[in-house]
Amino acid sequence: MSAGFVLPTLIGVALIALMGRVEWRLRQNLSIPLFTAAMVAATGVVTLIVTATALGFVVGPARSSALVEWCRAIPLHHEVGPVAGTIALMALAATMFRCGRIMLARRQAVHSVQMSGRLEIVESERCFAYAVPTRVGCVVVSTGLLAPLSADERRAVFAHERAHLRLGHHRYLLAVELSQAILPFLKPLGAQVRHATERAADEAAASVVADRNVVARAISAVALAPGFGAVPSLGGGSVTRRVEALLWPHRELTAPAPVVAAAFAGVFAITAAVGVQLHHFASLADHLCHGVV
Amino acid sequence: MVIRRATGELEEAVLRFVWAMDAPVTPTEVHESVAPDLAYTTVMTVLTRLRQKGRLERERRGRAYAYWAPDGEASHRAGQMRNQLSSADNRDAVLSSFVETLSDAEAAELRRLLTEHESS
Repeated sequence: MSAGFVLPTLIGVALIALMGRVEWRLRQNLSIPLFTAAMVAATGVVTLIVTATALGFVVGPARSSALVEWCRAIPLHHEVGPVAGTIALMALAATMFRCGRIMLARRQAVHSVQMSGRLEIVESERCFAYAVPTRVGCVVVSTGLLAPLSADERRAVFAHERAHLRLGHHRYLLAVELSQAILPFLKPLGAQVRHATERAADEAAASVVADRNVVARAISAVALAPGFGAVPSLGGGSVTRRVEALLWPHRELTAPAPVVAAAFAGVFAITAAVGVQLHHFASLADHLCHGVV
Repeated sequence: MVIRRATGELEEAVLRFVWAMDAPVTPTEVHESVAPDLAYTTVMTVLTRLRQKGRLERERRGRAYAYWAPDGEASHRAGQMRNQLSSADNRDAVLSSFVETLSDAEAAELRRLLTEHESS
């Protein structure tokens, strides 16, 4: 495989991974789709390379095939060493296994609630509340979570979970989870997407109950409740940052225009680096045209 | 058939919400919390029907009514945890949960924030 093929890709993927280390302070309706798209792009390109390598190893070089003639860089076009081939195959198998597990967990979660149910209250000492993405969307809340909350705080919980469903956060989270399973070093960026979805749902809840403090109190009460402990922390103080942003809106500054511009410039640079590969498609089109004429 | 079942599920969801709130709720609150994707009048219809069935009671509050569940009606609204949802590692990856567990340091930081806000 030529360095000209792999290098731009590696630089692009490394840049996307580094995006997760920066505190961007973008608005959630921008950061959620932007970061998810970056993760999917990185994962997609790496998966393509690994798949091509594995295929090249299994199928062997297909020099005469018009299909691969257009790009001499991809591994299908020349010998793939047994080491590279075996590693690619193993990576592919491990990836498929991990992604399969995630899809299975999602299926189980969706099938664990009534098909057209919208709300389920579960008798349990433990504190939990989930948004389950069925067709109509189902909110699952435990009695243990509701017990210490006032009526307003309970409304905030329901509004928060409903907002996740209304804003379609489950689609982004699925893409994030799959990307992380394939490229574990994307986890910091994934955590940012997750945090952004929680912040977006908090803001939606705050506008429903018309009081930011109520939402902050509900989050704090649940997080500090003794029966709590079902969900492991993501680290990074996500809960404290959410409460802080609700109590002091000015502290969570959204990024000024230059920063947003810089973010976009970065993503465009990454896209361009990956897009260098597009010239291969131009070659393919050229090749096909000549073949016809 | 499909529509009737969906209506039944909506009634169930509304009853569960009223029960979970443990306080009189307005139709707007029900609409926002249970079915913001449906029309407000649909929620209103469900509330009226539930009251006619005697499963909810209402009292005037300003220009609207507030609904609550009479005693005895409230029980049996909570279901048992189903197998799939009980295994936490499954759902964390694919679902949005309300809050995740705090480390001791995070809990201390959260308490500090709350104290700071109260005193300001």
